Amino acid sequence: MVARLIIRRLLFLVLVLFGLSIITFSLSHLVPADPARMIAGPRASKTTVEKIREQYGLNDPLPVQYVNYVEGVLHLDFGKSFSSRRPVREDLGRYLPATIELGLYAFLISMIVGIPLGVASAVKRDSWVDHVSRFISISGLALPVFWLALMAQFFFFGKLGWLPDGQRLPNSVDPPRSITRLYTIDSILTGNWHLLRLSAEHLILPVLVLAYGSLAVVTRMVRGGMIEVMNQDYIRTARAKGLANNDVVLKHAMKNALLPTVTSLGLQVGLLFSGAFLVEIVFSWPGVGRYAVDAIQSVDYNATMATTLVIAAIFVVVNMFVDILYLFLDPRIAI
Amino acid sequence: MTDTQKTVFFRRALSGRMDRRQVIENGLRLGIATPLLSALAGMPAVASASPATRPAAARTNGQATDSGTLTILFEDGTNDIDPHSTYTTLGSMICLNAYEMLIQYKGSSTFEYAPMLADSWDVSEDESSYTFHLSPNIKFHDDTICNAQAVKESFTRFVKLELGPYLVITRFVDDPDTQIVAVDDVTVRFDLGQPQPLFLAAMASSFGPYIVSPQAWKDNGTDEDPWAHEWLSFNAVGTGPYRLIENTLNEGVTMSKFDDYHRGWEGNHFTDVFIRNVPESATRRQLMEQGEGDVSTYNLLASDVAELQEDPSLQVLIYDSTRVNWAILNVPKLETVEARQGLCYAFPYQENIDSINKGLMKRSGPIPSTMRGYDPDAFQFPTDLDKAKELLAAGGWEEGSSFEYLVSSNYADDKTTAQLYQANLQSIGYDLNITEVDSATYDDMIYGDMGADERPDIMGGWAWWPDYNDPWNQLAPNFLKSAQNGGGSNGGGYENATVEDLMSQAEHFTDEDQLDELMKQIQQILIKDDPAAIFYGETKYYTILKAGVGGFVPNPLYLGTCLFYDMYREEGA
Repeated sequence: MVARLIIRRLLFLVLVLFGLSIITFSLSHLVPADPARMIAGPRASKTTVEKIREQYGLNDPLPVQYVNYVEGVLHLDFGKSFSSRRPVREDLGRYLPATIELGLYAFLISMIVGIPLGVASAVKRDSWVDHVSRFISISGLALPVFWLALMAQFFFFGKLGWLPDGQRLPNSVDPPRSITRLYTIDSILTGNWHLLRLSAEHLILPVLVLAYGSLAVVTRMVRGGMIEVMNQDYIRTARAKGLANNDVVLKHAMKNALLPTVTSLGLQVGLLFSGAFLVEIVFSWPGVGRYAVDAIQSVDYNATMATTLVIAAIFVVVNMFVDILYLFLDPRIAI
Repeated sequence: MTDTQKTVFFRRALSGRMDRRQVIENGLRLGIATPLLSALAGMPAVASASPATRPAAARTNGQATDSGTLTILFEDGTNDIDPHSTYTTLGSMICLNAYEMLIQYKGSSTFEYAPMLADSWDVSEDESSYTFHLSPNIKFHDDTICNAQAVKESFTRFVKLELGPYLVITRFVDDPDTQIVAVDDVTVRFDLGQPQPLFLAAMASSFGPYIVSPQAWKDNGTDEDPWAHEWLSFNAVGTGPYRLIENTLNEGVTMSKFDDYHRGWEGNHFTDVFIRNVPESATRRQLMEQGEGDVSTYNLLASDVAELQEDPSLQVLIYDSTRVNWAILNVPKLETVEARQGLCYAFPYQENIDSINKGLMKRSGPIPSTMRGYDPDAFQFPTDLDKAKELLAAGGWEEGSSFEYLVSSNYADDKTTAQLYQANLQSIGYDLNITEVDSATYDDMIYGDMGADERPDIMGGWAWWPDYNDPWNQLAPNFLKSAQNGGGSNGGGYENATVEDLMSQAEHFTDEDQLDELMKQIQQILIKDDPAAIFYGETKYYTILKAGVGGFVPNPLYLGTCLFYDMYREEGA
């Protein structure tokens, strides 16, 4: 069953990436701007622009350009970025870990805080916990990430001076020896506690802002699931049998209430990546979100398409794992 | 004497609203310690420093003092720091500090020159030959020697690369093999073949005439790229006071002092420089307020500047620039002179200056007040809606007609200006459809080779400043026929036979008075007689400096940049 699911999902992944490559390729090339001129600089001569167009194969017919691109991607060669002049693969290797570190902690916070808050909110309906939870849910969904990021930075850095404004580390500090390229993990692996403290401090604001929207979704889903489950007959039976409240909530209700939340875990990845695009701008975070925004603004076809494909692949793979996890959590699906 | 009195005193002193004498007299009356008063009296003026004023901070001379790290906040990164190709402000700032030209503009002047690589220079009587005498024993960052031969080879690369600002040199030298002569190790001569009064002006440009180590391109060039343009786009090997350590596109640029710099390191200088890439303007403001940034130039909101002038921990310098702003008119579409004049009369000039630019702009034509050729009596359209209506109708645009107006999404202020313009046109019965596009699309619309029909009627928010103090260089790329359809930024397809003829004379002028007269006539045509654009103002630039950071001298031709070597942090700041 699991093997069949994985094969099906992998085939699906290929289809998604193929479709996406056509869409991003077409959209990028529809923009009425000339990347050759962007590379050459605005005041470059016509001859120079033409030379660059030739050099990057931009004079080839679009289908030829597409086939060349796909051929490269199949060999994990995403071409050269027009902006950084480096292979896009190299750029992704540099910027993706920064976004993964941001997303990973944001994801963990939204789970660690969101699940208990949702459960507590459902169990103690209309109490202050419930009000707090509902406030978080509504505000997290209603407030634009960009605005929240600016406000958080304004208060915690600008006014109170408690936290750094952004970046992964202060200007004067060298990053830890590169192992995973996640600074906090690398600091632990190299035993550099000072760097761990610094990198953690720099993560706090962007992670909390990024986690907020995701936290709102998780809290709301858990609360809704719990309220529904708590009204089920088997919960009433458990109570009638004299089970302690904690046992009823934690052992019987929560397990079932969390199933829909697990489904949403995969979707959170998409939410976190889209949020990262904006959070990284405000917090000068050198991640793939900012790289993608710069690429889009500078008509950098190769970088734009590569970031889209890589993020889509991550999204599909994570959702595949969620589906597999679901099989274990709810054996009825396998039947 | 209360704390409030002291606070008011410090604010006034720091904001430059008291002269040196007033600072000392009032300070003594308030019982403030003499050393502190001396420091305050010597602080750079905060508001409205004219280009001629140099911040007069006391400087430690004699022994070398380390000012630490200078942190500059910049809004983007650059993928091209090749000095013979880059046309970005950041690229120019890196080059100005990692490389050197033969000469530079002196302080805030756009007419005088100071030594850089050359200690002195001679000009032949007819201004057709220029000889530069280099400082001896100058080293490149790669430890090779910078002599006259290296200068010749570097200019040869500049000419033959044909990238970015190559017109700065090719206007004067098209055959470097014969026109540039390495007379001896420290003497290099340029034989221009005809009188060229503006050659020195071009040699001091911050776009192009830098001297690159020939060894750098010999070591890193390839068959396809013999001049090593790709390599030099991310590496720098010059003779400048700071070496490039790292350039990462979306993090920043790190530079460190070059120990063998030929002018030495006596005095107070920064050891390291970090140009931090901060894309969000609100973040840049907060970083300056929190003291995390030392310099931020023309990359905040105009309203921020007014507020930051009240902050005693910052110095705000406002100065004239060479940057002028206009809205390009699509001449083939807006064929009649009357229609274009009508559009000029409808523009909200004063509102744009007061409400949107908060005074950081003043009226001008296409040539700014800081350049030769500027005509202080040039015609300026007032906002006159009745006249606009009358002229638009006479020009064949009936009431109810609509115009398309393009702005770049990178500049929110340009959209607001467009909205004010829209309101003016609406009040006289015309529509203005504003379209916002990303900067790549916007630039392509102006530099690209699409036909007039594919372009909008008006392209707003266009700004330009010259490579050096030469009005021909300012106007040619924007208004000559040769600059249409990908040949330059004449995106409005402007073409006027008289302008072509006058510009041709201006290109080869020999007498400054003659140049002024030619420019007067050209401006009259471009602004009024056959309008090429709606000229709405000359930008007033600003630089925010952290208190205690001195040595910054704004030059209207080195916009957005600074010379790190001249800058320092006062002790204790």
